Amino acid sequence: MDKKRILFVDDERDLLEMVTLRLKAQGYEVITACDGQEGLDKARREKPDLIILDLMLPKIDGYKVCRLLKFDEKYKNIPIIMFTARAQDKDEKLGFEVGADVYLNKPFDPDFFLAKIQELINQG
Amino acid sequence: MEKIKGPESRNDYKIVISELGTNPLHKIRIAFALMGIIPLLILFYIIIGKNFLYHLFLGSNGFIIGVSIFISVMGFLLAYALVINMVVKLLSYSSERKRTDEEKTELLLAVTHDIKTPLAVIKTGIHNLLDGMAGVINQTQAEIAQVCLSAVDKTTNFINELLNISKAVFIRMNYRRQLIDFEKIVKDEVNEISGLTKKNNQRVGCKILAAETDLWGDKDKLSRAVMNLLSNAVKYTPDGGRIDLILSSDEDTVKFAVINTGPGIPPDKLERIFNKHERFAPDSKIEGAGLGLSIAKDIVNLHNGHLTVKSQPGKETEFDIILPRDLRTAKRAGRR
Repeated sequence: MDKKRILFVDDERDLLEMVTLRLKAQGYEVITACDGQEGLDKARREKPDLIILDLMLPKIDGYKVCRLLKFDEKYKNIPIIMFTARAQDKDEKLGFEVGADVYLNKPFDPDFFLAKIQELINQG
Repeated sequence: MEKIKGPESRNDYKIVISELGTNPLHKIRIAFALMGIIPLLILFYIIIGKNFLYHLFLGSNGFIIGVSIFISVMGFLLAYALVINMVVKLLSYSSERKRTDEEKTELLLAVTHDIKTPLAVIKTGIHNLLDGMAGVINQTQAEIAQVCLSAVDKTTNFINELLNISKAVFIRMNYRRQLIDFEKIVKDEVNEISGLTKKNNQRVGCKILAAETDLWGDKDKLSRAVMNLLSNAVKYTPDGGRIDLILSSDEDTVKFAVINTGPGIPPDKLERIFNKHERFAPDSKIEGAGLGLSIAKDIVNLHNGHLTVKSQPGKETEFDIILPRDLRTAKRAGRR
């Protein structure tokens, strides 16, 4: 069976490394990007099964990346987990308004995080 | 030169006056200033007015009348300038305080954001170690890792409480009044915590005894107040315990009660339960800085409502919110 592919977009390289390790251990193929523009390009090129998107990204922020993908017929069905250390209610509300499927605060519970990923991929 | 922004609504004036009222020294200064200026102005106009009328009715020459008019006008302009200067200073003081609070909050958000990301790295890294991704670890290594995880969780909770403090400051600054359905707020918030209550095996009962629960208020703030009461109930109700919610209303008020079967609050501590940072649970596992109830009380007070508590230690605790619906006032003002 083909491995499910996850695109993980975050400008924090240490976090990319730690989370990638965990996702690979769970059997996922992980594609990474360090800024919004790279994330958007890879999402369009690779069409992953799920995208994990940080909010505060260089070049294009996570909201914009999410909105651009969710309002595009070709990519709107890719589930997106928005992932941030910002904790204001308005940030979460905006996340859902631009189409994020799940909004997670850092630091997150890894088991819960993996369960959410599995749930969203299975729904797809 | 930067234009000082004045108040835009009645609420802003209230904020200006209440901001000044928080410092007794400001009140005394303003009182003395007014006590000093007003009698002087009155005396000035009595003298000038008397002279002016005297010369006018006794037919004095135009020069004296002209001088009297000139002095009166100059006096008026001076008084106007003094009063305007005082009002502008009052408003700029309030604007400055508001801007400073906003800047402080933004700084706090930025700092907490920069702390939370490395915490996420540490937490994920430790979980990776515990799950054997760097090889099998022994019992001692696992215990050390668990201690580190616990410290990360405590730091995260502390940061979240710091953020709650900054939110408490914002509560009074961003009040948005609209007609809302309180029953919907309660149902939405109960839904939010349902995952946690299921996990804790807590039974939540909700009784709606009202046909209509619409009222005028700030939807986001009232949602927060309800969530804080529910979170408090979840926190202090033991696993397998019960949380009862009762929503009722009459023509003028909406009442919402949250009853939990927790450890209860000692009678001598009931008055302080809404103070910031107060917690009275014997359970040392309960985390948090104790701000939730204080914030809920601030929000209810902002709506001219009441938040009260009664408790039977060892049995149950009941929190009651009573909010004015404000429907008749709004109708008179043409908003309904």
